[in-house]
Amino acid sequence: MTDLSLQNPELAASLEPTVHPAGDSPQHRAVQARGFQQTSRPRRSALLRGRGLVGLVLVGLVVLIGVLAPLLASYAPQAQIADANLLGASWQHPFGTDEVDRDVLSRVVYGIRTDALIVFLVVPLGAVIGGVVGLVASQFTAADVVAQRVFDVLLAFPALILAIGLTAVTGPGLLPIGCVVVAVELPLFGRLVRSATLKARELPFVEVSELMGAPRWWVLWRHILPNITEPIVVQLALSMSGAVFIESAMNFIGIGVRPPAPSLGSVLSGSIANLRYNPMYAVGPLLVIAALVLGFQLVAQALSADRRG
Amino acid sequence: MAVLEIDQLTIDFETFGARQRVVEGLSLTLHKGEVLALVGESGSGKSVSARAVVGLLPETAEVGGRVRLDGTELLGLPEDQLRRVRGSRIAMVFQEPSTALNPVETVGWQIAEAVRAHTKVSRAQARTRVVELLSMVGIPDPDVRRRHFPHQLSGGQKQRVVIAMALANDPDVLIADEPTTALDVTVQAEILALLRSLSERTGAAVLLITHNMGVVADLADRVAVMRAGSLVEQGPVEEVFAAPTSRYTRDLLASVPRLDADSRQPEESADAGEAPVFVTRDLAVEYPGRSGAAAFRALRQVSLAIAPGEVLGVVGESGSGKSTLGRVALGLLRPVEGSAELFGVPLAGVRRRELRGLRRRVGVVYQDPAASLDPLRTVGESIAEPLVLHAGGTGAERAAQVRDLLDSVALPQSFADRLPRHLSGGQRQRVALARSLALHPELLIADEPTSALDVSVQAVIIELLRELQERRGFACLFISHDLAVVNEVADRVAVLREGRLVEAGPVGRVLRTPSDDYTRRLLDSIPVPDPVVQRNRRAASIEPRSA
Repeated sequence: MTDLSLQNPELAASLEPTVHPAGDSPQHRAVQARGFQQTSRPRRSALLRGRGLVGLVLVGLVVLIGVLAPLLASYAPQAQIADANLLGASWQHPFGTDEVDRDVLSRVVYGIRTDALIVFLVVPLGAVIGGVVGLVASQFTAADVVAQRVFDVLLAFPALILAIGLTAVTGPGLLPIGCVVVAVELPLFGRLVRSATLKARELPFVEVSELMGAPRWWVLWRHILPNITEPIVVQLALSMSGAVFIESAMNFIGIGVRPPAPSLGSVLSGSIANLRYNPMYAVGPLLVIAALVLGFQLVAQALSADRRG
Repeated sequence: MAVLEIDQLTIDFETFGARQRVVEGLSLTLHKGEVLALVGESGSGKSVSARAVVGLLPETAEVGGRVRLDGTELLGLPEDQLRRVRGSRIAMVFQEPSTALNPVETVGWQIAEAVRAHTKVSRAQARTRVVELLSMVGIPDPDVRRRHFPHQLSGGQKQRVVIAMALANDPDVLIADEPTTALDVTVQAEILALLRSLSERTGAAVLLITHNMGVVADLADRVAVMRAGSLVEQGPVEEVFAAPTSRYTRDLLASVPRLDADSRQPEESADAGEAPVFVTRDLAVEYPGRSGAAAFRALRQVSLAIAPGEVLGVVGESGSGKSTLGRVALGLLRPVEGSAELFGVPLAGVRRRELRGLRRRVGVVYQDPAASLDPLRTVGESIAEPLVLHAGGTGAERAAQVRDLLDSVALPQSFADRLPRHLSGGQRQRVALARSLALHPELLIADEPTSALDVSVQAVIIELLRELQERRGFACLFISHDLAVVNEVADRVAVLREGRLVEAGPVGRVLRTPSDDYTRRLLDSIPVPDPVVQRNRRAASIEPRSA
């Protein structure tokens, strides 16, 4: 026992690895050799391989098409083309034309922009609001009771009923779509953040920090939030795929963007009555919606599998 | 006669496309009726090797070499044939009895399941066998007990049930992977006695996997020492313990804390005049009962004091209230009766702000260093946290202090930029220790600070703690289940049992000449890492027990 004395710090530092088998076991060496980036940023690597990469490419491709719409579309989304009523697919109009003589491909390409706005602006907004509510709920009992009941009410409403009710008040447009998406995301993120925070608060390192006299906001900001980002990011990807769906569904039943502004859902909605004349009218927007939903789902799956593995 | 022969076993794991060899050329022979202990520290490959024998490794593992049971090759056997071997010819007992049992079925049902998995018997026959097995593993009233659910049994009884399940089909080989690690020391002694008598009675060969040298000395006939995937040494237990040939085995044995080692001489300077840093008088603490259940009284009538610069060891088995005492000292739990004073301030009605000031003067180290460090913050950030919160100063000053603290726990200064997961368990515990000392606390509360560590690392950490304590002179509430560790660290010791203070006094007196029966029983239960002593002790204790 005494021969393991630590009078000399260098001796001490050299002692542990020699007696501690993990210090020079093959696993240990391999972990060190593989270095930091492999293990320290699992989120990034999960998106750069397998289904995560496929998802990322799908989403990226669709978004890129939306961003480059003015370059890619041969026609303006509202432009009416002479003598082009409900044409089938052709080289000139790959998705054909619609009942008011517009190029479907151009409308789809511009329509992506509406969806991108919802997905990348409104969903994160819902996540932030929901997250803050969840965080507050996890800290104060009174707030918790109120927030939980609000979440219950929001969850009790099917999204479309909520959408129809809201549109009856505000009229159709982007605003009600945004509100519905936020209302749908709010309880999801609220509950997620609340339960993750409560769980993280029990972790020993959080308790140690509290025992050192750290104020509540410090513990939340420095220790809890960074440690619960992973489930939030997974939920974000899932919610984004859900938002594409909500947008399409609302436009499909005619309570979305005001015509003639294009969106994926509104193009799809117009196609139904004319399926007999131009089937590509429906297939075009569906392809894009499917690619987006699938892409986000794959990203979410890859992230959550990575978290578990 | 050799029952199980392991020849040149190699195991590789494939992760992220990289292959890692975790076991290299392991050769062992297990004879009928003998107990072979496979010892080693974490990562030595001992559990992996045992799992390879019964084909329980994940698909990412690649196993090479030979494993023969009575001459039949087991490696590469198809899964349905392996399943016939598992549970009937080779049975396993794992560490944690509470997770090894299904909580929603009675123990009788589970043992019957083990019986009927391999032999066709009627329900009545199975029931008879269950009762027989339960009485064999020493469970009283087996006919009543078989109808009990796991939660109605104690930890030791649960482990007995697990052993009964393993014995259901009269196995030739019993693999026991850390069978007593999750148990209290007095229960451990009973389970070890049971395993020994069973192996003698049934003639089954036992492959015992453990990190505890005392358990090896108690149970094993032969011992094999593993390190980093290879066999370092093997031989009869008396020879290996008396004259280990490899340096590693020698170090390992030297690291085991011993009760007969010289304990610290209480410092004469701790004169009675100084006000104690922490004192309790007839302290009682309760955990509120849930949904109408009665409150649980975790401590009752506990009176003790820690003088400045004194190390008080608090020992006891699980449920004794030793951790609760630490939580009282931290102000996390309030007394319901009696009083607790920290630095002279009564904790019963202390205000939040005042408590914050008191906690500043207290450091804390927990059991699991992996959990008590934020995985996303660097070592330097973790150590600096108390400084940022309390001491102020510039970033450069703090960085200098962090370097000093790393020095004082004998870690290189470059570690400040590393993340906890790049550190070994012992290194992480040093970081936790450095952080707890950052504000020069007057009292350090250490709750099982070495229980999650390997024995050789534990020895180094204990030594470090002692040295820091002597240099800095803080008082310490050292909570542990391990009396030998307390013997090496503490000046005085308090023994708790079921919330009551059983005995307290200078370490030398309490651990050499205990005045209380329970303390004596606790001391007698600890297996000594010396096979000869252990055999004599067993012989002495069997007489009165059977009488």
